This record gives sequence, C-alpha cells and structure tokens, in this order.
Amino acid sequence: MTAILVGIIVVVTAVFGVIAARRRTPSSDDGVAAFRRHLDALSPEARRSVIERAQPPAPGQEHSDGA
Amino acid sequence: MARDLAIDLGTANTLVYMKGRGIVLNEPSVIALNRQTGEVLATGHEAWNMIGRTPGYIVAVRPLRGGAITDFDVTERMIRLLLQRVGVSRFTRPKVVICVPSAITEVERRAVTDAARRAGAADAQLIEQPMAAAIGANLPIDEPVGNMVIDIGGGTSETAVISLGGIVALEAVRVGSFDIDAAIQNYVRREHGIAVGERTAEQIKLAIGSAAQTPDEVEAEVSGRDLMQGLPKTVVLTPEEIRYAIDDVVSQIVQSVVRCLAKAPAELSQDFLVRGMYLVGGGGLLRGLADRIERETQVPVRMSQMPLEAVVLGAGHCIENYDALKRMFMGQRR
Repeated sequence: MTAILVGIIVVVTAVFGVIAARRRTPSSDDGVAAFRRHLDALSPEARRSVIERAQPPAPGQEHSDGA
Repeated sequence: MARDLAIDLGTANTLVYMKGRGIVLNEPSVIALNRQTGEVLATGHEAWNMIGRTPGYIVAVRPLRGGAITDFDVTERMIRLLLQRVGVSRFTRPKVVICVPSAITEVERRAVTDAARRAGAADAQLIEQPMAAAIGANLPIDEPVGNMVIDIGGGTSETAVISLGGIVALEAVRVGSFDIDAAIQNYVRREHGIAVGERTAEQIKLAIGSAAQTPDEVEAEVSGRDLMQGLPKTVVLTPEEIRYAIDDVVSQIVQSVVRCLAKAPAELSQDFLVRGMYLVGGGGLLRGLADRIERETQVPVRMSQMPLEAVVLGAGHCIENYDALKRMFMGQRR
C-alpha cells in the first residue's frame, strides 16, 4: 500500500514538474545567454577562420607544383 | 548532404560562399538569353562579354537594378544556374543566406526569397548588406564602440553605424557605380556627340575616373559612334571632364554619408574620429572617393582589406554560425 502511494506521489510530482517546465516563462538569464552567444559569434576570433579562408597566401607561402 | 551557402546577389557581381569551403564563385550578375525561345545561352563572365555586342535574337541582361529584382523569372533562372554550378541538385537542398540592400521593400524581399526557394534552396534568409559588410571587414562590431561602414555597390550605396552586433543608424540611397557609368555615357553623348556603350563607360571610369584630384592624372582616348554622321569617332577625355560628369552622383553618395553621421548618437560619434569609417564595395575603389568623403565629413576614411568580398564573407560567417546569428536575419525577432 505504501509503495503504491509513493509511486502515485512520484508520478504526480513528475507530471507537475513537466507542466511547470513547459509553462516556464523565459527568464532574464535566457536573454543574457542568447545575447552573449550572439556577441561571441561576432568576435574577431570567431570570424578569423572565415576571413583567413578568403585571404590570398602570403608571399613565399604559395604552393608550388614544381613547374 | 548539401553544404549551406551565402550569396551576395549584387547588381554588378554575384559571389557565393560555401560553408566550410570559402568563396566558390565570383561572377558578373549577367545572363544571356535567346529572345525567341527564352533559352539561357550564357551566364557570368561569358554573358558579360556579350553586353552590347549581341545579334538581334540574343539579349544579355542584368536581372537586378538598384539591388532589387527587376525580372523575377530571369533572376530565378540565374540563381538556379549558380546553385547548379556549385553542386546543388534537386536532391541536395541547402540553407541559403542572401545579402540584400537594407532599403528594399517587403515585396522585393519576398521576390528574393521566393526566387531562391524556387531555384532549389531549402530555406532562404536575408541579411542587410552593411551588416554583412561590417562582419566581413572584420570590424569589432561585438564591442560597444561606433563602427561605421560605407558600402558602395553597383546600384545602391549604404552607410551604417554598428555597435554591439546591431545597426544603430542607417542611410541608403539607390545610387551606385552603375549610375557613375551612366553619367559618363550621358556626358560623352551631350558634350562630344558620340554614343558609347556601358562597358566602354565603365572602362573610362576605371582608367581616368576620380572623385577628387589625384596625382599622375592622364587623359584617355575614347571611341564611339558619332551621333550626327553615324561613323566611328575618337575623342580625348580629361580627368577633369569625368569628375564634372560624375559629380552629381558622387555628391549624392557623400551626402548620404553625412546624413548617416548626423543620425548617429553622440556617444558613438566621437569613436568615428579615432576609428574612422570603412569603405567596402566596388564603388569604393573610385579614385579620390575616400579623400572626398574625408574632406567633406572631417572623419578619417579607410579602405577595407577585401572591399569586393567583404559582404559575402560576412554572410558566410553567418552561415557558419547559423544558430548563434539567427537574430541578424531580416524579419527575425531582434
């Protein structure tokens, strides 16, 4: 009997937990984290690989086919 | 699996950046069609070489003017061919980020995204050209400082102040380097009585065009068709003449920069004096333009390292970091 009661309490708590998580309004932390991610993605370090991919090789660094 | 793409769909040139690969295509935005059958005969460089030299049944056109689509069907076909050339098939549909002028209307935006989707893109998002240019020019736009970028393209000129990853002030005019070419054509026709094509006008601009006096100026011989007699004729043009011919267009561009400076918040204005403004886009390569803007605004003007590629590199960075930079796309929640 006790085991059934405990089981019911666990299930009800889990259901309420799920409902509460779904109804949770976005907290201010979400906005801060998203804005931080946005700025981090725009930092010069994040952009380096894209910029370097487009730059011509420095003199002396060109690949030579031996011709 | 398709690699996602960033496209700078410019009035003059189209550049394509492929995720993980870099710039894979850089060609004039021109398409040559058979006027009778509607069949595509050439695109890019090959079509550009045909401008003004085609027989009656072929037409070589630029489907974009002023940064906007003027011929929807032709643009769609051009994008479809571009996507095919970089390896997109009907089974591999990539996500695409397309750079567009910030001043385009809602209808024009929809035309671009519809054309891209119908051409084979799984999803098409738009990003404002000055924002993409600032990212591609490697300006520190993630910091709380004023970054100013002037993007002079074929059909539009846009100036933006950017701070903390967003546009603070913006000024755009539908005037660009094609208007400079048109002004040269009109001047030569009016003052010398000869007709020259748009490619010749562009060559005149590249050879002796300038927005302010520069050292080592030379004259240029220009050949065209005499309007009175209909015969070929050659005249000599001076740099002063060309400066006079294009002054109205150049003044419109400079005035739009001045208006953008006036819109900027005072806290950011002081940053410009130290950091300067950055010129990107093919139009920014006009000799003396940086000096003229600097003289009229009293703010230092610097040339971006890769002025022609900055916009597509910025959009390329957005496609590499799609989820983190989603909020930069036009129409997304800011």
